[in-house]
Amino acid sequence: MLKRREFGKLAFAGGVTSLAAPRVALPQIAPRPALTVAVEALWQNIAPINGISNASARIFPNVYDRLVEIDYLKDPTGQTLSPRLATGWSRKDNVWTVELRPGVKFHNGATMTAEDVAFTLSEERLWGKTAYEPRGRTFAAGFVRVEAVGPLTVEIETAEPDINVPGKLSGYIGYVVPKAYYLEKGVDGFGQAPVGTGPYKIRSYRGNEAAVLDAFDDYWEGPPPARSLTFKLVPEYAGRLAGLATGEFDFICSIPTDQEKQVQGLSGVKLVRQQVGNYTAVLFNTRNDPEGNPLQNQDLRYALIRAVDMDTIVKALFGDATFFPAVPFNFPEYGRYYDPAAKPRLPFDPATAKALVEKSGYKGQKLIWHITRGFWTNYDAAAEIMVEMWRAVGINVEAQFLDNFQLAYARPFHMLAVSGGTTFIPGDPYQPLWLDWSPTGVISSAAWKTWDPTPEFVETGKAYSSAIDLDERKRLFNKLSDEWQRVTPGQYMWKSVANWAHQAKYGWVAIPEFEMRMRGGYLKL
Amino acid sequence: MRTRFWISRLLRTLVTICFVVTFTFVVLRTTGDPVVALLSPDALPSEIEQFRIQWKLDRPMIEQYISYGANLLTGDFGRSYQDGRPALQSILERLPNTLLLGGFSYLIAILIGIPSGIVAALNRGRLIDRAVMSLAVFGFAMPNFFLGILLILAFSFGLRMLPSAGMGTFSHLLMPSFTLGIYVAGTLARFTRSAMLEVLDKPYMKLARAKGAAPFRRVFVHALPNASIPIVTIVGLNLGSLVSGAVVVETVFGWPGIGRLLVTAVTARDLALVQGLVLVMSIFMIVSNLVVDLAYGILDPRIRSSR
Repeated sequence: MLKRREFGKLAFAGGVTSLAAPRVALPQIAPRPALTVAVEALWQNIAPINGISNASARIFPNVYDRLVEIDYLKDPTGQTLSPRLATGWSRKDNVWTVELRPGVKFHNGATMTAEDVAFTLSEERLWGKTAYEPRGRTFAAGFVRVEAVGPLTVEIETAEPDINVPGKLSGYIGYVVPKAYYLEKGVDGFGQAPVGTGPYKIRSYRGNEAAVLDAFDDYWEGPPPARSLTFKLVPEYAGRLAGLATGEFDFICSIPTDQEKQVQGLSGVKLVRQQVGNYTAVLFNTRNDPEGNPLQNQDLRYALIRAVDMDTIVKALFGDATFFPAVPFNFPEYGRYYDPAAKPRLPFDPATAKALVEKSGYKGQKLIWHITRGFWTNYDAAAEIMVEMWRAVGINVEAQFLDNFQLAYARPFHMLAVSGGTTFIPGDPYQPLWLDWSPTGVISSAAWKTWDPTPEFVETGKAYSSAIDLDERKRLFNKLSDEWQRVTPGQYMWKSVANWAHQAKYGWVAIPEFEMRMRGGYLKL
Repeated sequence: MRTRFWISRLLRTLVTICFVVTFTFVVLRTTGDPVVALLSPDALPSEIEQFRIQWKLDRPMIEQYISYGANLLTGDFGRSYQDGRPALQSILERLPNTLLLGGFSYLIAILIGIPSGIVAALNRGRLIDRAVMSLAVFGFAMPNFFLGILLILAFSFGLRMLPSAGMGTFSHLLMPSFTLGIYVAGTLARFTRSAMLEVLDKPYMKLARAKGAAPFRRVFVHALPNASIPIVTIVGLNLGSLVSGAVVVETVFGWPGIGRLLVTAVTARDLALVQGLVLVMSIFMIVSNLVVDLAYGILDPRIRSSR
C-alpha cells in the first residue's frame, strides 16, 4: 500500500525526471498483434531434419533461418536463390566456400559463427554412420568435408564437382542450429525446445497442443511483424472454420477442397491456394516380392498407365487448381528442363491397354494397392475411379485404404501410394528423378522398396548428378527420364495443392511450399 | 469381515491391473512394429536397426516385459519414443485437463440427468415424461463427435458465442463438457426414472403419504435414497468412461487432455505412452468401481452387513 507521503515523493521524483529528460516525441507505435494459426496437425518435434513433415515445415522458417533461400518475393516461380545467413558462395572444383553474415544472433543470445554452420552440415549431425539426424544423409549426399576455415567462412567439399550445393543449402539442411546448445540438449531435447536465428523464438512446444513463438526482436533483419505466433492444433475442420469466422483464429490451414467455396463466402476472410512442390504418385512394385508379382511384367505396367484417363480425373476432382503431368519429371517448375510440347509415351488409350494386358499374360490376379487413408487430398477418390478404369481393361486392382503409413508400407503389396517433393534443388529435377529413384534413394533402399534401378539408369544418373555443364545436364536428364519411362515403375498423378484462409485485413504472401513465412516482406499486418 | 472384504477387493484390483499391463504390452507388440511407425517412411533398414537397439526393442519380449514391470513398480513408465520425455510426465501434464473436462461434464450430467429422471417418474405416462425420455434417448443415441460438430457450427460459427477449440477460459469448457456430459445425462435420466418408478409404489411411500409428508420430503427423503443403488451404479460406471470417453471429444474440440494424447500415441505406436495411458485409464475405471462398491455399503446397511 502506498502511503500519502511516499506517493508525494514518487510524484516529485517523477516530475523532476520528466523535466530533466529531453523532450523527444516518442513515435506512436501500434502494438503488434499476436497471431493464431489453427493447424490440423503438429509433428512430435521440430528439429530441422528429424522433425521434417508438412506440419512442421510451416513452423521451420519462423524459428530457423537458412543459409540460402528460394526467394519467392523476387521470383514467384521459385528459380531464384537469395542469400540469407550466407552472404556469398563460390566454387572451385570440388570445394564450395560459403561466407556468412556477421552479427547474427541465436535466440539464446549466442552469436552465429562458422563453427555453428560447420556443425549444422557436419558428418556428426547429418551424414555420418551414427548421425544425430540420419535422414540428413539424403540431403547432404556427396558431402565429404565441412570445415570452418575462418570466423565467418565455411568450406564444403563434395566427392564430385557439384553445382547444386547452394540449392541444397536452401533446403532443410540449410537451417542453422547452434552447436553448443544442440549438443547440450541432444537431438530429442533440441526438437522440443529448439533455438534458431529465425524471426520468432520458441516459447513452448507441445506437439499435442500448440507451438507458441514470440517475436525475436534481435532478428538480423529487424523485428518481425507479429508479437507472437501460435500454431494451435485444431484437428477438426469445423473448429478451424468456426474459429476463423469468429476472429478467434487469424489463419487456418488445410481446407477440404469441396469446402473452399464456403470459406470464400465468409466476409472478411481471404482464401489462398498454391500448388506446392510435391507430386502425388502411385508406385508399381517391380520386384519379385510378393513372389510371382505380375507387375514385374513391363507390358502390364504400361497397361496400367494407358487404361487411366488421369487428366479427366484430376480436372474432375480439382478443377483448375492443379494439373496432371502427362510426361513424368517434365514439371513446369524446372524452367529450362521443362518442355511444354513434350508428348507422353503412354497416353490414355483403353484399347491399347487391353491389348497390353493380353500380351502380358496377366491372368486377373488381384493386385493390392496400399493407400494411407485420407492423407492426400482427393487421393482416395481418385483411386476408386482408377480401380474402375483398370477393371474395364481387365486389370483387377484392390485399393486398400489403411490407417497409417506403418500399415501402408507393410508388405505384401503390388502398388503403393506416395508423394514426392520437387524443390530440393530449385530449378533442377535432381530430387524427384535421382534423389528418390537412385540406388540410395528411398524407393530403392527403404524396407518398402519397389524397384531396383537398372544399370542404364544408374550409369546415366551418376553422370547426370555430377554434370556441371547445363546443356550436358539437360541431355542426361532427358536420357535418365527416358530410361525411367521405359521401365515405368510408377505414375505421377498431380501436383499437390495447399490452401490456407486468413483474415483479409492481413496481407500475406503464400509460397508454393507447405511452409508459412511470417516475417517482414511476406506478412503485412 | 470388513478387513477380508478390503483385502479381497485390493487383490482383485491388483490382478486387474496386472492383466491390463500384460494385455496392453502384448497387444502393442504383436500388432505392428513401433519403429517403422516412428521413423520417417524413408528410413533405411540400418536406421531402423539403430533405433531398435537404442530403445532395447531388439531384446526378447519376455525380457522387455520383466524390465517394464520392474520399472513400473518404481514409478518409471518409460520414455516416449516421440519426444524422449518421461511418459508419466507427459500424462500428468495433461491429466488435470481431462479431469477438469470430465468433472465438469459429470456435474452437467448429474444436474440434468437425475432431476430429469425424477420429473419423468413423477409424471409417468404424461407428455412431460415422454418429452424427457425422448430427450434422454437423443442424449445417449447422438454420437458425440457429431453433436460436437453441430455445437461448433451453432454456437461458434453461427451465433459466435463460444470459442470453437482449445482451452483457456471457462467458455472453452462449455461445449466439450456438454457434448461429453449429455450422453451420461441421458443414461442417468432413464435409470433414475426406472429406479424411482420401482420405489414410488412401495408400501413405505404410501405410509409416508398417509402420514402427511410433503411431496418434496417424500421424493428426496423416502424415495430417492431407496432408488439410489442403480443410480449410483450407473454414476460409477460412467465416471470411468468420462475419462476414456474424452478421446473423441478432446479431438473434436482440440482439448489438450490425455484422450488426445492417446490418439497421437496410438497413431505413432509410442509404446511407453500408450501403455501408461491405458494403465491410468484402467486405474480410473477400477477406482470408480471401488467407490461404487463402497457407496453401496453406505447407502444400504443390508449390503454392508452381508459383507
